[in-house]
Amino acid sequence: MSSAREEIFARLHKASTPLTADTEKPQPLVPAVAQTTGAACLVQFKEKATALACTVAELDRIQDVPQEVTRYLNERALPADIWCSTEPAITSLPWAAQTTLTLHADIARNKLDGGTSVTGCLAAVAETGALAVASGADFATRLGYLPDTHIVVCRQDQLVGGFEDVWAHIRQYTTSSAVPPRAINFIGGPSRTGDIEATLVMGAHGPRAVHVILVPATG
Amino acid sequence: MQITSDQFHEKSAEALQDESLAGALFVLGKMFPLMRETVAGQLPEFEALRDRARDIRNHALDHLPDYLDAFEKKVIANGGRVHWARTGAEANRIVAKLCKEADARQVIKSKSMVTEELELNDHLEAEGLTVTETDLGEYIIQLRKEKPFHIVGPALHLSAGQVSDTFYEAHQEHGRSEKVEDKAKLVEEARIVLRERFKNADVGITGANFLVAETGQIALVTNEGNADLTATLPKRHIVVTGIEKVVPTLDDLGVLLRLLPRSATGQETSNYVSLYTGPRQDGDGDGPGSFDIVLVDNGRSNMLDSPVKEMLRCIRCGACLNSCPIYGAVGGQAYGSVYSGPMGSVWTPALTSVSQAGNLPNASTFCGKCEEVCPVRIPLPKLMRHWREKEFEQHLSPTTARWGLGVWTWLARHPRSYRLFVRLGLIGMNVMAPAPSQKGRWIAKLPFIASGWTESRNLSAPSGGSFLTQYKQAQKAALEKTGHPSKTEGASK
Ligand code: SF4
Repeated sequence: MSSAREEIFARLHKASTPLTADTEKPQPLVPAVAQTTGAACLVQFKEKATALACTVAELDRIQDVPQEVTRYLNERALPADIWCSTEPAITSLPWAAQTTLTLHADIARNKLDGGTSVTGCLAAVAETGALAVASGADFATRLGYLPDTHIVVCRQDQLVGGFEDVWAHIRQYTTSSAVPPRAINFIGGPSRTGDIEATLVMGAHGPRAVHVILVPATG
Repeated sequence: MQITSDQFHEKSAEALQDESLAGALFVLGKMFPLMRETVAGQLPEFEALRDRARDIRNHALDHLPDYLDAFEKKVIANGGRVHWARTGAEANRIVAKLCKEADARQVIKSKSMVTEELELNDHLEAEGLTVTETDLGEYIIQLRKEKPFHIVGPALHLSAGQVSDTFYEAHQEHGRSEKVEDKAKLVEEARIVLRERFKNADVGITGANFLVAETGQIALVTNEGNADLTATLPKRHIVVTGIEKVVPTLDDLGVLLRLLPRSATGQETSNYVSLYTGPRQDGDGDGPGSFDIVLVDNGRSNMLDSPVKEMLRCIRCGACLNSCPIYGAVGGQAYGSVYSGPMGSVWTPALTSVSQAGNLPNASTFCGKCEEVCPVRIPLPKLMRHWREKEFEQHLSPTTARWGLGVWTWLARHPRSYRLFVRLGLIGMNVMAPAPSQKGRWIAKLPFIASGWTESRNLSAPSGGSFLTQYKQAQKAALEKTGHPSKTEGASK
């Protein structure tokens, strides 16, 4: 008896033509909205992110992030419990000066409900206003989904035009035969649903609020 | 796939009487198309992207075995596993086996039309597993044991009151003691219940919007974020999807990602767009220990070799449903299949048979709106016509329709009898129509087999004789005036 794979492929081969070096492939097409750079990129990102119901703050120094986190949580009367991703750029910030904040390290699945995560990102995408995050040793995917509030710190040099810039990042892995991160998520603002009477309601499963803190480029 | 498409007539008659459907159908039929047009208008490259998307999907389908093979190799290199299923039953068995291997009891799912097609939930439940849908709309219809109303908004036919009743019953065990109808509160209630399910689940099952051959990744698109929790929290992630979903490269994916949300809900982007590569990696803070992809044929390879091949380009955006006047009048439930509207009218007979689903391709006015909005430019009317022809060839169409067409064919070949028939018809119709009102002359009731036409609308009464009579009169008048018969504009050049 032939295997399911063989049978399916036999049928597919019958109805298709083999791919050769000369087979013409459709060329990529990237819309202008995904190709902004520099100041225009920043302006567009802020506009699109806001349209996705994110809030955006711009700081002159990355050291001021903990203070901004305190301000944000106070303003909304949110609990001062935060869970940070473990990348050095975030952990090395002057958290201790913020005496009202409590930093937690345990990201067990039942700990994060109602909390706030503070993480970095891979890129901020001006095309859509979404933040790209990649799983890895210093970022657990759940930090973008289980807490009620997600605060994302983004360096200006992480601003990119469109999806293609993130594809380039993924290709850094594939061209050297390495495995890309398990998960790459584009987070476009708070989680939402329109499933009941097509009325938009925020906070369906994931965060109810996403706050972006833009900080200067490093170096 | 179990379908009840043979009851299309009865169910659409019911739907037409159901006033509560009108609101949902208004949103789908008016609001979504308007939002689609607005965002499409803001993207100058929209039409060019549609051409490109059509070419990408055609290219992938023309070389499907090569791209599937490349995809499979990458998945394995990334630490995942690929399983092939010829039929729905085979796919269900594979998924059940994977769940058993993990000693799973609780399964969570994010919305997947393919698993609806396979009726995977029923199968897993029969095997003793508890399955919970986590897309809010899908969760609601799961509790109500219904089929999706719309491929994008499965529960849009229900009012907040109906959802409240459903939750009230289902959530008693979670301590729910009062009924809420406020939509935000209903969403919150589902969030609390489903959050616990997410945390306790052993297996997460998702579909895939696209498979990327270049990297071996799957792409998932949602607004709620439920697919990401499903792919991240449980010990296992199982992906169940159709073999036609593969695209060659990330760049190709980019083209489709720009069209899907705009066409579906008029959004520039869905809130969550995600790529999943495989199982948890060394050092990762979370993620499933295993990553399995079940690639389902279930009739697709046969479609590739058939006149409805182009249907395989479909990216399940639902735009054709929203634009369809028939869907807009009767809604998704009448189709009796998980796939409804114009795309469902082509998919359903392909996955089942014309004898079971022949009603669906007939549920079209051939207005062409569906093809106009389809992001991958599928010629849906042409494909529906194919099924109609098949139905006729196989002598499956109703006797009255065959008889009517027979009479028509005979008349068309016999011009004298044709003219006599038309003249008698005109006299008859003029007798039936009352005196003209401000709104013109309308016939409210036709006799015999034509009575169906006037059951829910009037027929405009004929005026001024047949075309041939009018043509002759015009010729005569022209001859009297100029001495020459009149010429049409085009012919005078
Ligand atoms: S047929 Fe076209 S418009 Fe309809 S769901 Fe598929 S892709 Fe969308």
